Amino acid sequence: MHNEAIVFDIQRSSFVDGPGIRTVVFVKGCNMRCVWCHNPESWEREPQILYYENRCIRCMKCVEACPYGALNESLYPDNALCKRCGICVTVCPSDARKLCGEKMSPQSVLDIILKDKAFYDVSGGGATFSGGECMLEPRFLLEVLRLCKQHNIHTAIDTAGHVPYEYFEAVDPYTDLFLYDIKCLDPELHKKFTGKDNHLILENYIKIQKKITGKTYCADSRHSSL
Amino acid sequence: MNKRIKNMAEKALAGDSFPEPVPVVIKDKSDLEDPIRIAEGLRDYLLKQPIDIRSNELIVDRYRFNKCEYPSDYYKRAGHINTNKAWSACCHASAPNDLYYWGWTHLSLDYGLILSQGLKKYIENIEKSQVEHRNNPQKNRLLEGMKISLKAIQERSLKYADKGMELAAKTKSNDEKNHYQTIASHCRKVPMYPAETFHEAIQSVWTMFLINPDSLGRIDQYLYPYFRNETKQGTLSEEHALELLQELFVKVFETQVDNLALPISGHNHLVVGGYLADGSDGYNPLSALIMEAIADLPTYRPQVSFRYTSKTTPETILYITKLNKRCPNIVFVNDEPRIPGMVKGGISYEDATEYTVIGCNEWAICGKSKFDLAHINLVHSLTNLLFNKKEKACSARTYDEFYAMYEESLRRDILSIADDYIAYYKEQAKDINVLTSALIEDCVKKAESYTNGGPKYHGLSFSFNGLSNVADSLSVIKQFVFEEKELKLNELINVLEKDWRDSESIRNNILKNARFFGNDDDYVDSLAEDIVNSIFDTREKISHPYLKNAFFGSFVGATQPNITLGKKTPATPDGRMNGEGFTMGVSQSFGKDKTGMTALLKSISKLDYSKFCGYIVSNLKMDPKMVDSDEKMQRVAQMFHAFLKLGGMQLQINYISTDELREAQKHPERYKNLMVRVTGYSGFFTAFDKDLQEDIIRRTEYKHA
Repeated sequence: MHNEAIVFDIQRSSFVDGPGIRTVVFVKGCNMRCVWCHNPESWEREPQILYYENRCIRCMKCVEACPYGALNESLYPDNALCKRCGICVTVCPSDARKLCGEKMSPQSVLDIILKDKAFYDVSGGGATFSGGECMLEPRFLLEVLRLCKQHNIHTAIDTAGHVPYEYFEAVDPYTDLFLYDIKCLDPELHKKFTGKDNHLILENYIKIQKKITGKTYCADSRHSSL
Repeated sequence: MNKRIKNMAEKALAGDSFPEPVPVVIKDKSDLEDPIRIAEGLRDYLLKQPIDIRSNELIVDRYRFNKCEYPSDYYKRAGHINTNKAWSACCHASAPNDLYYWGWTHLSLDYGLILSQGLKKYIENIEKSQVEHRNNPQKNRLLEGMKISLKAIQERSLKYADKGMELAAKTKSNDEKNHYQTIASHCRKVPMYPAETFHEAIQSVWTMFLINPDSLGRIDQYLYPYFRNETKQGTLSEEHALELLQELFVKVFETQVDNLALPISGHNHLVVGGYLADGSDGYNPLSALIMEAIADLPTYRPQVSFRYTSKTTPETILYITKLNKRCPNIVFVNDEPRIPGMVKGGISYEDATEYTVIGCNEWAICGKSKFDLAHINLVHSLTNLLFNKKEKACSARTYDEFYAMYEESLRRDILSIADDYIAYYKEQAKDINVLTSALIEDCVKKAESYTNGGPKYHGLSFSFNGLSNVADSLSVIKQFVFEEKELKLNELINVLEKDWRDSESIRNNILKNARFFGNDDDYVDSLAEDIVNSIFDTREKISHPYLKNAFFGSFVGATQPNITLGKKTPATPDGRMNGEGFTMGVSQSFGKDKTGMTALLKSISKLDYSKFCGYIVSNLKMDPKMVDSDEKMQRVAQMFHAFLKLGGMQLQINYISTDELREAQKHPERYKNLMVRVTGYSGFFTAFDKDLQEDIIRRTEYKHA
């Protein structure tokens, strides 16, 4: 399906990603490389095999099982050979491997979001789409937002804003809240620490403020004078 | 709490302050066959106990029945020779099998009636019944015995009144004179006559609590008329009401210091809130004050169950959640599924609304019920099938066929317990109880002893241990044996027989890939629902005049049946090792619930608690960091609110991290005051035995949100 996305985590019962009790959908793939990123496994736009060295008992079952010879004694996968088939994850007895990222349709994501409807209703919560950069999957996002609104679920988008402005206009009718995360105002520092220029981010932010009023929530209140 | 209460509470925590009881021995064994001689023995005991007025207390009296050889209060069972014999034959320490053992029988008095009408009314009813049964000398003697025992309560109170006057005459201080005179005037009036003030009501409740030191019942309802009128008229300040309540609660705490080595608190419960007979919600300003009073005290009794209704406001839930964070003695219970469940079980709607939580998480209809209890090993019906009827079990071609076998095994087990109960009941019925019977309306009306079919409602509550262990085991069998066909059933049984030895990889595979209860996964949650339905469906087969009311649930009491029965049970398909404890009640498991708190709460709430309306416990352990801001606290309260709206029956929370519990184990001296919730009770963590400490530590901890 053309509107699927790679989702690397869906976290239920979140209290901190917007109003009320929320389910947070983490979409894989990001166009920034912030040095402080706390989930760098979200950068690549495809599934990855994660390896937790501290849990590994070095039984070598994964090395034996890998059909593509992507694993050797170092136990870190050779990304060129690895096909992300997940066999090493299945055979691992100690949970030292995890397949990070699964292709999901908007409907299958909605099914999980709907499970906590009772909790949103009581708390004014809903679904938050985060990442990576969820706005890099506009078709997926648009569809899943539309489905959420069909079920009267509050929606929030957590974005760093480095995407074409049209994307914002497209999702706007189905979005209740933008959690707009401006990393840094200084263009040079921004570039240095995130790998991207912040011109587009700031421009988008100003446009949103003008056109999409009453929705934006900026992660840092110091920037509200923008 | 004020300084006086603080001192009182500290003394109570330090140990027993009850005077040494003066024993009364049975003169002649044939006394036990005659209600009048029993009553006279009781009277003798009541009048012999020391009269003890302390200058710093606003309500008086302090004694226990534990040196009385005549059958006294049924709850403590002093003198109930036959009941004790029947119970000991199958109690936790001596259960002859691994299927079940008998739990405790709890009862609460109708304090509302005692306050509004006085014991006088009870005596009038006894006299009416005497006329009714005038041609039955045996019944007449029982009624006469009841009357003597109620009058003896008054006689004891009058001794206090005299003592008060005597002390008043002796003192020169006007304040002290007033103080003793007040005590004297209260004791002259209550509990024989209706209480007219809040203070008198508290004295009356305390006097009667000593007669039956179990749940205080719906205290926010029966005290409310006094509280409302007097605060409105300005004759009672909130501070004074709080002080009186706290004194009562500290005294309640003290009553149980003697009788159990376990530092637990389940024996004294009370409820606030809940439906009234007219369908309105009874939560009132006094309900809040009562919870506040308890949350402020350092003692770990009484326990409060807050009865939720669909009319409960979000503000109330938030208020309770905040109190609960500092006081583990407060839990949520839900009237929405429970009251309809009680009605299905033969209790009238009006009576059902009058239930109180009692003991650990049991319940009783105040002044109207006697429910015995069986702690049952639900896993037994499965392991018995797998290990002892292996060939039959392995002949199942589909999961449904297998489940039908399990259901049959379960049904047989339930019916055998019901059969055993009949014998248990008959043995109990030999005891003649005059004191408790006198305070139970229907015992008076029918002129029947409490133990012999007297109460309006009587029967057995079946409490099943290991519900999620069975659901998870069935889930493993369904998935691995019948669907994915990774394992043959006989292979799995062989592995279990060897307690997973040399099969680490099979066990790991199951723990990693099976679908376990607590993750909001219908695949396995529906299996738990099936079990509840199968249990409920046996009800029609267990009708017996002695077993008029039968209820089903899953909870854990002070004898820790989940651990005790787990020790007797071999390895199970859910990855559990031989002898390992079961999950407590309908709760989080030991690390298998990993989809988040809302998912766990959803799983728990999926069971139909109108069928499973008996005794329930659901645990949740949270890192205190999850409620370290007002906003997070509000989210948590909202989460509980949603759980209750979804029909969850009970919820109790520990706000404590696993790390801290480990530290407390290592350095008990630093954590002497660390109070935690176990099941229907809380207590000091460091005073628990190792098994119980581990049970709490192993519960899944929710850390992030």
